[in-house]
Amino acid sequence: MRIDEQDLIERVLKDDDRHAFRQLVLHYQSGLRIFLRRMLSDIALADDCAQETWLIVYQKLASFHGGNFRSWIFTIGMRKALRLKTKEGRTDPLETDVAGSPVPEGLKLDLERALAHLSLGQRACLHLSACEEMSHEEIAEVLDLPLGTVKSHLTRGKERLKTLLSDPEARKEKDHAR
Amino acid sequence: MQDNELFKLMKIETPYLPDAGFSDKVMRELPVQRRVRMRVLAASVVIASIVAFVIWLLGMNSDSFSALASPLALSTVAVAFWVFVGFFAFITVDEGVFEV
Repeated sequence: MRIDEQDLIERVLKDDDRHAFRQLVLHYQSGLRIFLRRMLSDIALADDCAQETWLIVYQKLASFHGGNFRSWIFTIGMRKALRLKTKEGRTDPLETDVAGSPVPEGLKLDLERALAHLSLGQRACLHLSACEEMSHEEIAEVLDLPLGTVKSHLTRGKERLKTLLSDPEARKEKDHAR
Repeated sequence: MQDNELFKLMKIETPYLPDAGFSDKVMRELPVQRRVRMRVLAASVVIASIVAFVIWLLGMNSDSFSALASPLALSTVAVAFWVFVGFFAFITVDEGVFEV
């Protein structure tokens, strides 16, 4: 569904048009919620976070001065998610390239379980690149990371994900060959 | 696996989430419409001003009432003023003006 984003935003700002705001929510809700679910690994928490993100979007809409609206929403969502993670005591900053849990033996992982084994930064970069088709610069803006860090996360994240998704027998052979 | 195959897999296996009431929840949580708030603010100021004016008029025409009129009018205006400040503070906080 194509929407005239700029027109909808103007209607919300000028006339407090709730119908226009709902159109924006409907257009971006799936992408944002999926992203937050992958960041927070908790469906209910992710949806609450997404709801609060939209509240902030509504309140701060006047401060959006053109540019990439989707990146702006995702930036707010990511900041909210990081605050929630910090509150829970899970301080795995985005810059950290520490590999998640060790590769489980004898299991070919499905995508979601494989993604859960990546660091938060790698997971975020991969998701935004593959699923949201964001450029490296957009990802750097959303995650507030240097461009070099984004590229590094993408490279290492892809390598690790490929390993995790590969056949465990092939993985063992690779490990022995090293 | 090539990078483009990996990305293709990620796209295919990333579901589309239907709205299923999510946008309704969001809309319910939005603050009361700004126009309504401005009307409430404006109405409270106008009512307080009218009441103060009426009290002042009554005070002018009645000797016994005039002793009370000034403090009553002043009190009404003071109450109206603080109600206005309270509304203003509530609205700015609720609108997230001070949120970092």
